[in-house]
Amino acid sequence: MNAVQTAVKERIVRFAPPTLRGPGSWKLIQRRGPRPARRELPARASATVWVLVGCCLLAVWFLLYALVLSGLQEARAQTLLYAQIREQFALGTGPVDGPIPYGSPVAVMSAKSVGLTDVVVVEGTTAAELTAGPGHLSNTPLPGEVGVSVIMGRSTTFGRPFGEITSLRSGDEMTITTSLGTFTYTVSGVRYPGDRLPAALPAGGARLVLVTTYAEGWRSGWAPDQTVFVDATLKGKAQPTGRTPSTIPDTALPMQGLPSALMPLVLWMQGLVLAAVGIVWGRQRWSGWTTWLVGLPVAIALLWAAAETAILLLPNVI
Amino acid sequence: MTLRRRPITALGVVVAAGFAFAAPAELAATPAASAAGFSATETIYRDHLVGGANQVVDTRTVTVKAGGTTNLRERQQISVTWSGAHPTGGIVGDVNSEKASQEEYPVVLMECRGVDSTTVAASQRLSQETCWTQTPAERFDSSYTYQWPSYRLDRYASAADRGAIVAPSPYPAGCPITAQAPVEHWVPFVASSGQVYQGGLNGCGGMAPEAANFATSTVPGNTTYGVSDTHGNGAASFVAQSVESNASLGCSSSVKCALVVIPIMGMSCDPAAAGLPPADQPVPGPEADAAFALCSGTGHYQAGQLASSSQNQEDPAVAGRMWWAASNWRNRITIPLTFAVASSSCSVVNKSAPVDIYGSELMAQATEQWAPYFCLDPKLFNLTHVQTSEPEAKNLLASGGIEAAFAADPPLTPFGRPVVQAPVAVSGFAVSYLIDDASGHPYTKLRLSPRLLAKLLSESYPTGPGIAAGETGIAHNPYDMALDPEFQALNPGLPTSGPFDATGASMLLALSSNSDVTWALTSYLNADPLARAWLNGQPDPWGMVVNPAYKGLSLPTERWPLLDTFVYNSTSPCLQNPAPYLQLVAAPLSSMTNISLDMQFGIENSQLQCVNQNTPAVKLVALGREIPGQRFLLGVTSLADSTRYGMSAAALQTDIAGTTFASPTTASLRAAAAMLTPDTSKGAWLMPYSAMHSSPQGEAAYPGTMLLTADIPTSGLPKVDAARYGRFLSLASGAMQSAGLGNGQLPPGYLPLTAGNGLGGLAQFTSVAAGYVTAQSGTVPSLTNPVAVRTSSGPPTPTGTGPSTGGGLGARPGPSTGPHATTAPTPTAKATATGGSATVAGPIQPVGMTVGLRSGLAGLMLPLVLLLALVGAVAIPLTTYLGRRASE
Repeated sequence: MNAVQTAVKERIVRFAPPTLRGPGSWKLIQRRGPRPARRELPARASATVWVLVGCCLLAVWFLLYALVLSGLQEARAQTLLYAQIREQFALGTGPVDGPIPYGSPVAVMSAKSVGLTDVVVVEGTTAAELTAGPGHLSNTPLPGEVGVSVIMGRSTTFGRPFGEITSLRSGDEMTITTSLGTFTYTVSGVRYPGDRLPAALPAGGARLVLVTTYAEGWRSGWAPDQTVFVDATLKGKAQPTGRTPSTIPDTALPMQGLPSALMPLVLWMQGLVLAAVGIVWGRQRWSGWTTWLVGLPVAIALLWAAAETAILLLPNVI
Repeated sequence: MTLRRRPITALGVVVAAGFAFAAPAELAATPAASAAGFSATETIYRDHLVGGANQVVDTRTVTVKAGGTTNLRERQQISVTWSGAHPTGGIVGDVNSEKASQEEYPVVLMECRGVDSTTVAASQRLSQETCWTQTPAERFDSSYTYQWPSYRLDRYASAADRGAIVAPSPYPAGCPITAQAPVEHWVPFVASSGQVYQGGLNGCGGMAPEAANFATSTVPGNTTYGVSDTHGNGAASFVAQSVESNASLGCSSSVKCALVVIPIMGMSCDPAAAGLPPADQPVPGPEADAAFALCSGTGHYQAGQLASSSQNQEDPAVAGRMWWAASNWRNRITIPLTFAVASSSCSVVNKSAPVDIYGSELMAQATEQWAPYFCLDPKLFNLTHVQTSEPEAKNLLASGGIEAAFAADPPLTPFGRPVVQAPVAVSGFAVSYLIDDASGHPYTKLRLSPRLLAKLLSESYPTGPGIAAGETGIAHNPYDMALDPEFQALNPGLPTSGPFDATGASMLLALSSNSDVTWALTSYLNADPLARAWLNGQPDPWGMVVNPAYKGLSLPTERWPLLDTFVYNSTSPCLQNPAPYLQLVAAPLSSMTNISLDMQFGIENSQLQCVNQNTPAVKLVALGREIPGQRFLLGVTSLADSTRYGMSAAALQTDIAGTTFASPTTASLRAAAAMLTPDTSKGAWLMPYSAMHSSPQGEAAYPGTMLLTADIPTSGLPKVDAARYGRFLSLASGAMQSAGLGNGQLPPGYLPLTAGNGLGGLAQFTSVAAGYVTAQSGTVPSLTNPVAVRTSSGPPTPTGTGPSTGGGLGARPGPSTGPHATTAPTPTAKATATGGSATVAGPIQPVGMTVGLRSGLAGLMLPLVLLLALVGAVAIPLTTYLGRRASE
């Protein structure tokens, strides 16, 4: 057997369906030259290992997505939203009156002291809207208008736009630009559970409440479990509000997931299973590289969608 | 969201009376409430004119008494009793039906427009033509058989009324002249607008719109053919119809009406018919004798005999349907009625923008009387009560969608803004019932235990063998409550089976929407150890078990869930679309107004009647009105509806042993209200349900008692509105807390907040709260020591560490010990009260603390996922290694 034949044979063996040989063969990929004879795993152990590998990979992927990749997605959404709201400001077509469609940009906020720069706020606060950036609770007035406005944002996932707002100090300034102009708010403090509520708002005054989550101890920074509030008072005169308060779904309140995401998640997971079956099937018929070339983008796309949908089931402000 | 605006009584319902007796509870008899009773005695005759001689054949002295004939409101019941009347024969169960008009010697009660006096203008005068009847047969008589039916011999009738054809001219277009009988007598109805509805055979000549649906209407008409017993005594409750449900009759505060009582004595006959045209004179001899025999008939039935199908022809000479004949009409006793100014008239008299208060239906009867008080006073304003469920109103108030709400309980999640919960009335719920005893008369002494209520609500009675065979979890339970030994022990003497509908005896008509009433009712059930144990799965002493679907149900709840899923395998075309059978039986309604309507008229809402069979529109509808005399129906209504509409309210068990029961009376409401406990963390008085069961003073307390509050924010309201709500609270704390049926008073069913009732403290709180609302102080007064808000010039709002104006989020009343408290809750204004000072700053109750929302899911999801990854990372090589070892 010449070298070429050996190589061809090894390739064939290496990319044989995994169920035939067990996952121990993955180590062979690193190996060059003749393999020592390895005992094959019994079928049940082999199946267990593959299930474990699958779960493990899914878990790692979910962590990777939640903490890193979702940030990329949010960054892209922010870029598009910024372009959209910049155009609205330029043309004066921003929402002033009537109900605003969920997901459309309503304001741009900056809090330089904690590194928030030109973050676009969208309308709506369910888990779905908050994937694109901080969201405005739609039964409250818009920032700059008379009354108490509420903006909710994620602290951990999707670029963690509100991850640092608990570092805001009394007296820090925030600016918010809406269709009505630019408004400057002075932070009056971070409010943790058990703290007194802020003082009565004088007639014609405006307040902004930012809502996100935090945790103490080992959870801090990656597994928040409680809400926290930041109050800020408008400097200068507030604009009269033109909109009547609309009702909101329960899912728009803090710490609410989006149960309706369950059905799409099931469908995406089914898609993943189909893709896995397809890859196995492909490897029995095509060459390995061809299969991966076709299968990998599909698998990643499905994994991405599944992870994004799964996060919607979690509380909206983490 | 479904909101119904007052007046709710514009339901377009037509109305009825049931058998009387039932005027419930001492509540109805509060001194100011029972309007001046009416009583009249009259001697009436039946006397024929035979051969020129007066021949008196019957003389009776009839006494009629009626209670509550003033300040009437839509659908209100008037109880009427009489004695000395001719005993009734051919009795039918439903005294409001068309069939009842065929009874012999009934006492006819009818509502008529006008004044019964010859001194008023003819247009204002009461006559047969202004009296309301629901069906055409009650004002039309015809005969193909006899040329001389009794009305033609009526000695007291005018000559024109004794003709062969007493019909409108020209003959109405809707009635083919070819179908005209040889002898016909029409009694048209004149509507308040002046329009004449001719009636005629089957109403062919036109009927008032309110009468037009007589065949299909689920609520009966109010014309009552009352039954006199063999001693001539009888009673009936008559349902007054105002212009709201009967515009054609048109009775209102400005249009006078009367209740006309006609004890039917029979026709007084004049066979000679002297002075009449020859065509109207029977030929002396056999023809005149036969006519006289027909006219002077004394009935086909014995006194007290029930109508039978074999003897289905009543004697027209003494039948109730001949009430309009002059011989009967002249014997009438007229009871003038006065109607109160209805709240519905407010939109007419006062065009100003209304001040809305949303919320509890328990307040409906009070606001019915309060609203006119406001809108008729030019110095006040238009007050509108928009009836919604209490939780819905509280949610709307929390979100700022509305400015004021009537509620009974503090909200489950606190208002995110300072809101006073000012007591405005003590009332509650009633378990109203319509149960007929073995003799067909309404039972009035019903006693219920919490466990019986739990059994009814938890769909644990299978209603019959078919369901019991399929729904194995409750297969060995009694089919309905009447068969339940626990019920029989409490209510001896009721029929255990028989004419009543087992479906109605298996359910409690309750609310389908979220409600504070359901919360109160389930709190009462939950506090009872026996009911709770039974719901947890412990069988009662007779072996009845809870429906497994409800086992361990968590209570109290704002909304009673429908959990049984058994689908009955029936051949009914309606049940081919699978629907859980016992849920169809329960068929809760979305508003207490509808429950009251059903309970007043005995309408069974269980959706089990299959209509439109063999068509695509096949569907299930409500079973409809139960037959009087065979009724078994229970429902949760408001106490005020129960008294207003003359329903019976059950006495509820008040101790654990089951020896004491309390029915809703002024005394039992007072005893319950005395137990109300202030809860400063919730800013409201709460009913201690477990103490009610266990403590001695709870034994006399009616468990359905609820404190009703007006929840109004003290910040953020426009100045004009704030002043108006303040005015409302101020009046509600004093002037409007007097019992009575007049406008601005509290009707029966409410316990006024007065010092005499031991509720002076609550009234004082409301009075103080009025100032806080007017001033929009941003604070609420202390429950236990309410001190007037500063009313001098200067900002009413305390500065500094004042309470919240509501971020809408994270607000919770009451103190908290959160780990991050940055400022200690301190009173913001010193109590500087000195005697006589007009400007008193009260101790300000801290309104809110930030409440954190925790989510275990949020805190644990990512760590768990990481753990999964790590476990996998360890387990994969381990499994590989072990698997390989095992295969060696």
